[in-house]
Amino acid sequence: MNGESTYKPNFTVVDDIELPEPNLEEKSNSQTKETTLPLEDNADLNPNEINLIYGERHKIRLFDPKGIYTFRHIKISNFQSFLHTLSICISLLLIVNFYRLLITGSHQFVSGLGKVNNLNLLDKLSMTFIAIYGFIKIKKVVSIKVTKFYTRYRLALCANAINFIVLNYFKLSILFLALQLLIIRVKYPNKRVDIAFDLIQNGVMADTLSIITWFISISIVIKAFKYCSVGETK
Amino acid sequence: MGLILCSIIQMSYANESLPEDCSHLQSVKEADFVLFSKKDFVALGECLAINLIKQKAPLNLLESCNEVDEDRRNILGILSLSKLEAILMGQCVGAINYIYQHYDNEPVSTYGVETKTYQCTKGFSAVDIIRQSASDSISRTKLRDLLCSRVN
Repeated sequence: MNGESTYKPNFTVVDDIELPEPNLEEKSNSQTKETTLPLEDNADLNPNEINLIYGERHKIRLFDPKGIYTFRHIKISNFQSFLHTLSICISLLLIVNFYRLLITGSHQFVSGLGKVNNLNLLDKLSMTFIAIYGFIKIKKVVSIKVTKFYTRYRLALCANAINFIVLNYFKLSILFLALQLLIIRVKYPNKRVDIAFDLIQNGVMADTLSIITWFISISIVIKAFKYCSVGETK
Repeated sequence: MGLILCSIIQMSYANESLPEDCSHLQSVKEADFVLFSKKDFVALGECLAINLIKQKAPLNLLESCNEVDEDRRNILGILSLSKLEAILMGQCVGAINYIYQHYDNEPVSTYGVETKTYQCTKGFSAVDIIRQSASDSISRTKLRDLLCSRVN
């Protein structure tokens, strides 16, 4: 409790002097950096804690938009930017393919009519909302100028937000898969697994669960892009 | 993101031409928004089912009637209804109504002797009968035997 209350004002101090700080960072190397920062003035932080914070500053972040925003005054290295570029490409590919699969995979053949899509209104509304929300937020990031090295910051924030969505959606899918297997085990123990999956995914329960899935998905997206519009715009 | 938007807008495509009897529903086939055109989709499904029955083609009514049941019990209502589901519902309703109109109170003709008449069910009881039949595709005569009983 005591440590936390002294920790918070310290951060505002770092935030306030964020403009001169990058210059210091660029000029000084890692050894001299420790002496230039006001952190040492604070007697309550022991050296281990200070080292921990320094360690956090240069940590590679791929799924952590909040961390990128918190350490926005720290210069992002070439290697980190490379990782961000690589991961954003992979994540975008995954998202686009997932959406495509969701749309084309839902088509079903009706004799005399051809293929008809099986996405309901809730699916369409949620998908449109996610697409538009993401688009708006990414557009905002592109126009944001928080630090001196804003291009890398923008890239890092975008990559982290999108990777965060992919990671959390992956976790959510595994959770729902486990849940479905559990329901199959209890409800249809004698049926073949693929038939049981079909039964589960097309019923009242599936429709009710879908609203929960979409709610969680939208929460993930909103949380991921939370820091995209925060900061100074010039 | 733009790509995703485009694909959402162009989600519906159909690659078969409608049967002649249903050609008046061509505009419904292109429509994609269930909120405004649920009734039209149901009508399209009815028309398709009747057309298939007339052609004596087997129908997959189990899935269709499951959708009717799903629609009846669903708490989300129209929010969780898709175009496909609306059309399938129409197929179930259309087939049941067609059988009812054609066979109810009609004399049974066995070897030219007409002693009995058909008594057919309709509505949700008919839907439940089909759902319990558990056969994937069903022909016209089997459907008639399922829904109609012969009374003296």
